[in-house]
Amino acid sequence: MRSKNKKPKYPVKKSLRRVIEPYLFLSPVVILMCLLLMLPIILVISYSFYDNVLITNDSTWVGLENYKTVLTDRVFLSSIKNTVIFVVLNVVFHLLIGMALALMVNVKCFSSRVKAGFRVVYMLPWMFNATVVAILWKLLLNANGVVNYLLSQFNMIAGPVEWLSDRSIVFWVLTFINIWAGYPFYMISILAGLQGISSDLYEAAQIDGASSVQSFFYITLPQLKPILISIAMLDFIWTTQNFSLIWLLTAGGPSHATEMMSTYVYKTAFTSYQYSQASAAAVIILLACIVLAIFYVRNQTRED
Amino acid sequence: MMKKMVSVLLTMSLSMALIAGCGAGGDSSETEDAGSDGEVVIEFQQWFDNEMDEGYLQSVCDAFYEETGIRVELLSNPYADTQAQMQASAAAGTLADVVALDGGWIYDYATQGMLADLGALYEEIGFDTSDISSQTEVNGTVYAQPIVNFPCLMAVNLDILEEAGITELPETWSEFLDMCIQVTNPDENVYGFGMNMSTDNATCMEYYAAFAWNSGCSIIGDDGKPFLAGNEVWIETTEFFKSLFDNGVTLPGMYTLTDADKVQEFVNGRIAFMPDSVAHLTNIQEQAPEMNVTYINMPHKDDYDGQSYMRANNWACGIAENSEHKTEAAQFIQYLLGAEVNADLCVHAGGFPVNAASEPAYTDDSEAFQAIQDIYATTTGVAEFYSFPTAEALMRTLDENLVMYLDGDYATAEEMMEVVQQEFDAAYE
Repeated sequence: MRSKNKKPKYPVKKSLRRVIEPYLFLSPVVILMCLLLMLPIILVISYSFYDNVLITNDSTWVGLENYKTVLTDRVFLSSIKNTVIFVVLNVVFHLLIGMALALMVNVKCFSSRVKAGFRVVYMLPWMFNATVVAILWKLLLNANGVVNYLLSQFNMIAGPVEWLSDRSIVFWVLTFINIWAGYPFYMISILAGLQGISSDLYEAAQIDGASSVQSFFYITLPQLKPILISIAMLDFIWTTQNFSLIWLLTAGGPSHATEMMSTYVYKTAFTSYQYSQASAAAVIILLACIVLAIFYVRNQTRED
Repeated sequence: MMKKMVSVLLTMSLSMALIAGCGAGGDSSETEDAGSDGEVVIEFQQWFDNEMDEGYLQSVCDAFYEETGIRVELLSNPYADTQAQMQASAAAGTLADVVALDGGWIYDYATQGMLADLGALYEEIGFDTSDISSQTEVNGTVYAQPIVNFPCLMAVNLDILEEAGITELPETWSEFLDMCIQVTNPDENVYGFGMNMSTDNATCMEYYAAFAWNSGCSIIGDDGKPFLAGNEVWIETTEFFKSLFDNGVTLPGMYTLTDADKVQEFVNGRIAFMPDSVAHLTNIQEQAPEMNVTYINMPHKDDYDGQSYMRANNWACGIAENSEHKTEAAQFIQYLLGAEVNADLCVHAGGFPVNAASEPAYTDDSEAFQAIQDIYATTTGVAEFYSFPTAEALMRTLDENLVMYLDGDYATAEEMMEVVQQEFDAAYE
């Protein structure tokens, strides 16, 4: 039986200290996050409502004017369209290729040494940074490069194809390169997920007479679902923000054929000096990323 | 208990240090402005240091310190990073005292109030500029001082020309096109003309404009504003440029070719004619020592026989309006323009002096460098785009529309220039 007049374990002073203590431990990270993360975001959002920010001291409040200007700019609208297609294609193909390769390197018929070899080879694109990827593909896709040479040897092309200069194909070429550069992340994540699925499930399915296709759709996919959703959402956010590779390969050209929201923001800010409009465009990208981030966090929370 | 106390204290002190560390940034200029013994320290933000022999620019600053007692602290970044960093520091009010300037930035930085009036400062320190060949003005005020000039000419691979049986160099558009047709051999991957057109650096449009400039064309109207639509020679230049594409003499992939890619293609022997900054000559000589290279000015319109013009590029400097040591900064610029110092800078940078009294002792005795010197001595430099606001953005617009014209999206060059003119005019609104 509990005594009603039981004394508190710690005196009030001590208890207060215990309350403050965790916040003190957290304070360095909280301060860092506020300074390095929240402050820049708040500044960019505030810039988007002013005119001539950064370049003059007498910026004036213009409300939603910058958003209106940006959203009626045909280049920005085409960059949104390009970004959406680019991101969707990247996520879908990353997922398909990553899944296919992960299943391949997870099969039991190969020795672990052979599988390790394949993993290293398949992982290579992810080891290269954007600059190396850009230089590599520029050399391969040069009009006098290896790709055109091989295609001409097999009589598949009549003359040199301008892979990165032909406006009708450059967008698809850029998408292909980014898919190539990004699939290993999926492969490794899915492989880790595959190795975590209990073999009991497959054995039980086999006893019940399930085919390998049925096992894939009714065991593998449901088991991998949390991982697939997480990496797809992260990929959505990363690909939306992709700048380096696009800039190094085409700089958004020729004639806006590969203009993305990221390159649009950069050009608006650093060559047109329209920091307010660039901030408005950046806030639009931020909003899109926040929506995805909310889905991501909700998904993670549900998993927990 | 003791452990807990220590961790709480450590956490608190770390937080305080963090706050203090972030706060200290704003005071850094104060400590830099005055050295421990009261000497003046000025900052020089530039990309020149990275493009010359290691330690050379520091030795120039040291020599300046010996002479004046003013210390110069170098803030060196690659060219590509300099502009963004300058914008950021200007916004924070911490722009370095002396800043390197690219031609395309000057108009905007001057009108944004980032740069000080150099003319007034020169007067204050008694700097006689009679030997100084060029100064960059915006609305009648000098805001930028060129230090080293780099002419942009047409590099020629003489080996390709010789193989095609060509012994003369082209002077007119017709001669140039004929020679390009003669040397072009797609089976051997050899093309007549190769130029960077990537919008990563839209100043490439100055090479295209140089065909017009050397034909006596000006793209600045009487009102000081862009004059593109209805500009006869400019339209003809655009049509001539398209004829190079229509005749198949241009290097495939030019639309997204960068400056570095272009030089690489030239070094690999795939281009006969390449418009380029002469600053790349050393690279070309190092990477293709066997290649016979020379330089010509950009070919001009067939019926033009007037004064010769070339695209001019330079390393320029300005003084920050927020600087607390403007006169010391002006003294430093004066020092860089001294006859001997300027000559020595040119030798190390591979450029040409701004001080007319300078006599650089160039060590390069190649035929190519001799050709450059000959052209430089008789040709007037032009950089008309730099008098327009947001020059780089406008050149990018021109580039994008030019690509559309070359691809047939515009029926005529006039139609394209009408659109470009509207976009250029919009920069003044």
